[in-house]
Amino acid sequence: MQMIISVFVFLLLGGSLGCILGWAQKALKVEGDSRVDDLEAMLPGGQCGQCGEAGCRQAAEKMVKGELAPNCCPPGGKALAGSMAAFLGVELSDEGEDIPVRAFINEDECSGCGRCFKACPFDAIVGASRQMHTVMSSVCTGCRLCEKACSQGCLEMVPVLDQINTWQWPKPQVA
Amino acid sequence: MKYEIVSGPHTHGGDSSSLIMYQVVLALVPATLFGIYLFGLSALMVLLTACASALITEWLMLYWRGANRASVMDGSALLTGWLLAMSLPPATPWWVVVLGSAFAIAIGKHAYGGLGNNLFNPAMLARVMLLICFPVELTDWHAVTPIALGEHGIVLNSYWLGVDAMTAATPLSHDASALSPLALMSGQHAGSMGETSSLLILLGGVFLLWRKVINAVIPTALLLGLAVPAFVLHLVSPEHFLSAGTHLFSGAAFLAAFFIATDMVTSPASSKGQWVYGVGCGVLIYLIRTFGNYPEGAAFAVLIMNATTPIIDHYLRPAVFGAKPTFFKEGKA
Amino acid sequence: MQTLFAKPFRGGIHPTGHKERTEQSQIEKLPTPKRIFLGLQQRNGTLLTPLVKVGDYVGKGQLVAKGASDMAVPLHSPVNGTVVEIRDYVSAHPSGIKIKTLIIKSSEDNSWSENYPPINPDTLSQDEMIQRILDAGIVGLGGAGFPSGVKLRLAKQKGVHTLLINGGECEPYLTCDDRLMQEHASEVVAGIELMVRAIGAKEALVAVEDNKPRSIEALSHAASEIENISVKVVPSLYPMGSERHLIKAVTGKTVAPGELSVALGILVHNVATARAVYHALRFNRPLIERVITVSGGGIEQPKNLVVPIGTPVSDLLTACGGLTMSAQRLVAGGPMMGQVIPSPYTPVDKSIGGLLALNEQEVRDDQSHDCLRCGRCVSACPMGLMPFQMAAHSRVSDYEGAQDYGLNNCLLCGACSYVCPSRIPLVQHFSHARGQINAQRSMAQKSALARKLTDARKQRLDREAAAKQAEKEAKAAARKKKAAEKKAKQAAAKAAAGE
Repeated sequence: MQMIISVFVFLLLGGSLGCILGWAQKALKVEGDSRVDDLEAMLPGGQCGQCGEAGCRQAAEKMVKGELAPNCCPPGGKALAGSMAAFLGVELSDEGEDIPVRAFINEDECSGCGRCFKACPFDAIVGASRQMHTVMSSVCTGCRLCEKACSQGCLEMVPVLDQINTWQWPKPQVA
Repeated sequence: MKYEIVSGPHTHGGDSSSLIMYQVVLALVPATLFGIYLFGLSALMVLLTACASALITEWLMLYWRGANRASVMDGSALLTGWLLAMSLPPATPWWVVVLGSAFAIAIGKHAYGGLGNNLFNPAMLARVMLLICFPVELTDWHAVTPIALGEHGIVLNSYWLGVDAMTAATPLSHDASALSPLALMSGQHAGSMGETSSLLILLGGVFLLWRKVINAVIPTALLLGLAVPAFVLHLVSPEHFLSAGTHLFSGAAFLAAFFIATDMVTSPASSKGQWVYGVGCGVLIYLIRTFGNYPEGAAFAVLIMNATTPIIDHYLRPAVFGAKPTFFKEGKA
Repeated sequence: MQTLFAKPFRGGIHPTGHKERTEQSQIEKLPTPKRIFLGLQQRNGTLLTPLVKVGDYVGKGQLVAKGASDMAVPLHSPVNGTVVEIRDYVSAHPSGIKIKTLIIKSSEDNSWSENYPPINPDTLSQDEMIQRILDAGIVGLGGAGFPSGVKLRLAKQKGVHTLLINGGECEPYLTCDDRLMQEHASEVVAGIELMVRAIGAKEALVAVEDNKPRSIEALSHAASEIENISVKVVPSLYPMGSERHLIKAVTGKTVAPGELSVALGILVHNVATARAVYHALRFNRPLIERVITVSGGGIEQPKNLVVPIGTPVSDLLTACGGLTMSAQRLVAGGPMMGQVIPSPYTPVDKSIGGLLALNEQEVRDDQSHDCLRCGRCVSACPMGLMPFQMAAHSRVSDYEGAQDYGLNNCLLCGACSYVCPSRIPLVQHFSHARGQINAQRSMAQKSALARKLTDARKQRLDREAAAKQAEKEAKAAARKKKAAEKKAKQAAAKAAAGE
C-alpha cells in the first residue's frame, strides 16, 4: 500500500513539475538573444565593416556566438573592447593591438571630389565639393573607409603620435 | 649621464628586503645561542640542518622556476629555516628536519609563487606538517643539560654532547604549578630552542621594534589576546586554568608574538587589521592550549589567522585622509 | 599658538634633507642666456597662439603668446631680442615629446622694454587685481603650475576667509623658497597683503617648516606690523607642502577627499607666487623669471639662481660649474616629485623650482622584486591609502580595482616608493593606472561621439532622401499637372477648332 502511495506521489509530483516547466518554456520564452541588442547599442554604429562583417548588428551577433573577438572594432578602440569583453564575460587577448591611426588629407593634392566626405560614417571630413577637404582629427576614428574611397591618392592614414597631454607612463616592467 | 624615462622618486630611503630578513635573523641569535647552551650539540645540529636544507631547497626551487638564483641569499630562506629550527625539539632526527625545511620552502613558499606570495607562514606550515606526520619525533622533549663550570674548566656532559638524553615534558603539557614564571622567563626548562628563554626572545623583539623592522601592534595585540582570557579564567578557577604569566612566558608565546605572527608576508598591513589579526592569534593560542589536544597552539593559531589575512586586508583599510573614518570598508568584492 | 610640533598628520616620511648644499648660497642672477625657448603648449595640452612672427623684434616683458581661455597662461618674452624660429623643440616633460616652441635670440640689452611706472595697487578693484594677475601669466610656482588668477577668482567667488601661504618646501635639496623668504621677505609679505585684498580674505597664515629658522625670523619681522598676517611654524615632515596636509598642520581642519580647500574657506598659495603677485600689481611686470635651486651630488657648485623662463638647462649647469663625473640623472624639481629631464637642452618652464643632477649614491637605483606586503608603504602614505594593494591591482591591469583602493586620492608624493624595501616603482604604477583610466575615459567619450555623429548622419541622410523624394514627387506632380493642363488646353483648342 505504502509503495503505491509513494509511486503515486512521485508521479504526481513529476507530472505537475513537468507541466510547470512546459508552461514556463512557452510563457517566459526570450525572443532572440537580448545581448545582441545590448552589444549593438555599445558599438559605434558606423557600419564601417572593418570587423569583416556587413554591419554592427551582424558583428554583435557573431560576438555573442563567440565567432568574433570583442576587440574586433578598431573605431571603438581599447575602451570599447574592454567593456564588451566584460559584458560578454570573456578574456581579452592583448595581441594584435594596432597603433591608432587617423586619416590625413594632403590638401595640396585634393581635388575636392567629395568621395571621402560621402564615405565617412562619422562626418569627420569637412569641405564642400570642388573644394579641398580636411579631417577633424578629434572625431576621426581611423576606420579607413575614406582611404578606399579616395581616387586622388591624397588621403592617407597616419599614426597618431603622443602629445604631452596624451602620453602615458608605461607599466613598470618589473614586479 | 643617462637620459632615460624613469619615474620618481629619484631617491630612496635605503631599506631593503634582505636587510629586514638579516635583522630578524640577528634578533634571533641570542635566544639561539642560549638554546644551544641549554640543549647541546643536537640543537646546533638541528639549526644547521634546517638552515642548510632551506637554502639548498630555495636554490633548487629558484633554478627550477627560472628565477634569479642570486636571491637565494636574500635572507628569507635562511630565516625560514632558522625559525623552523627554533620551533622544533632539539633532538629532532636530521631527516625530519630536512623534510620540514624542504616542505617549508618548496610547498610553503614556492608553490604559492615565491617570496611575498605565500598565504601561510612557511616555517609554521612545516612545523604543523611534521607534528602531524611525525608525532613521536616532534614530542621528544629533552631536559635541559647546560654546560657547567667544573673544577677543571668547562664540563661538557654526555647529554650536552648528544650522546645520551633525558626526556622531560614541556611546562605546558604537565602540571604547570611546578614552575614559576621567573624560571620560565629565564628558560631553564624543556622545550624547543625558541620556547625556552622568553627574556632573550623579548630582547630580540625589542631590537626589531627599535630598528622599526616590525611595529608594536601585532605583538601587543597577540600578547593581550593571550593574557586577558588566561587572566580571567585563572581568576575564575585557578586549579583548572594556568595563570596568565605561565601562558605568556612558556611555550612559543613570545616567539610567536615577535617573530612568527609578525611575518610581514602573511600578516595584514593596516594597523586596524593588525589589531584584529594579533588578538585573533592570541585568543586562538589560548583556546588551543587550554581546550585543544595539542599542548602548544601557536603554530596552528598563526596559520589560521594567516588564512584570514587577505580578507582582513580587503575590508579593514586605513581611513583615507580627510574622509570620515569607518571601521569596515565596503570594498569591491 | 597651537601645538604644531606633534605629528600633524598620519604617515609621511623624513627624507634626508641635503639642504645644506645651497642653504647659505645667496640668490644670484643668471647671465642673460643667448637663446630663450618658450613652449607653446602647456602640460595639460592647451595650445598657445604666438602673437609674433619669425624675424620680429620682441622686448623684455612683451606678450608673445596667449591662449583661448584663462586656463591658458599667457607667455611674455623674458629678454629683448629677435624671434628666430618657431619649431618643434624638446620640453620639460619626462617623455621628451617635442612641442611647438618660440625661439628668441637675445640681445645684450637687459633693460625692460617699457618703462613700467610703479602703480598704487590700492587704486585697483578686486577684479582688476585678479585680471592683472591673469595677464601677468602668473602660475603657482610651487610646482603644480595652475594659473594663480583662476585660483584667486574661484576663492573670491567662494568667499574664502583664510589665505594660507606655503613656505613648507618639504622636498629635499630645494632651498629656493627658503632663500626667497629670507632675502625678499618684505616683497613676499606685500604680495600676501595684495592677495588677501584681491580675494577679500580676513587673514593670511604663512606656514614655514621648522628647519628654516632664518626664514621664520625674516617673515615674522616683515609681517610684524601687519595685523592679519601671521607666521606659523610647522614640523618638517614630507609631504608638508601638499595643500591638504599643510591645512591640517596649520588649522587642524581636513579637506574631504574629492573636495577643494576652498570648501573650507582656505586658499593655498606658494611664497614665490606671492612675490610674483607683488611684482605684477606694484610694477605691472609679468612673470618672466623665477628662482631655481641647482643642486645635487652631480653639480660642481650648487647655487640658487634667478633664471629667465625658457632658459635651457645647459645654461644653468654651466653657471654652476657644470656636471661632475658622477652625475647620473637630471631632475626638474625635487627628488621626490620631480620629473626627469629628457635632454640638457630642455628649457625651464614656470613650474620648475629646482634642477638636480643626482649621482648614483643619491639615486640609489636598485632592482625591484616581489612585494613582501611589509606594510611600510601603508604607514608612510599621508593619504591613508594602501599603496601595495593599488600597485597589485594596477600590475594586472585591474585599474578599477586600483581606484577602489583610492587611486584617485593619491598625491603621487612618492613616500611609498621611498620606503619600499622591495624597490617597487609604486609611483609609476599609479601614474600608469591613472593614464590608462584617462585614456579609457577619452576613448569612451570618443566612441559616444562617434555614435552620436553616425546617428546624426543617418538622420541627415534620411532627411535628404526624404527631401529628394518629396522634390521628385513634387516635380512629378508638377509634370502631371502641366501635362493635364496641356491636355486640357489641347482639348479646349480642339473643342474651339471643332466648333
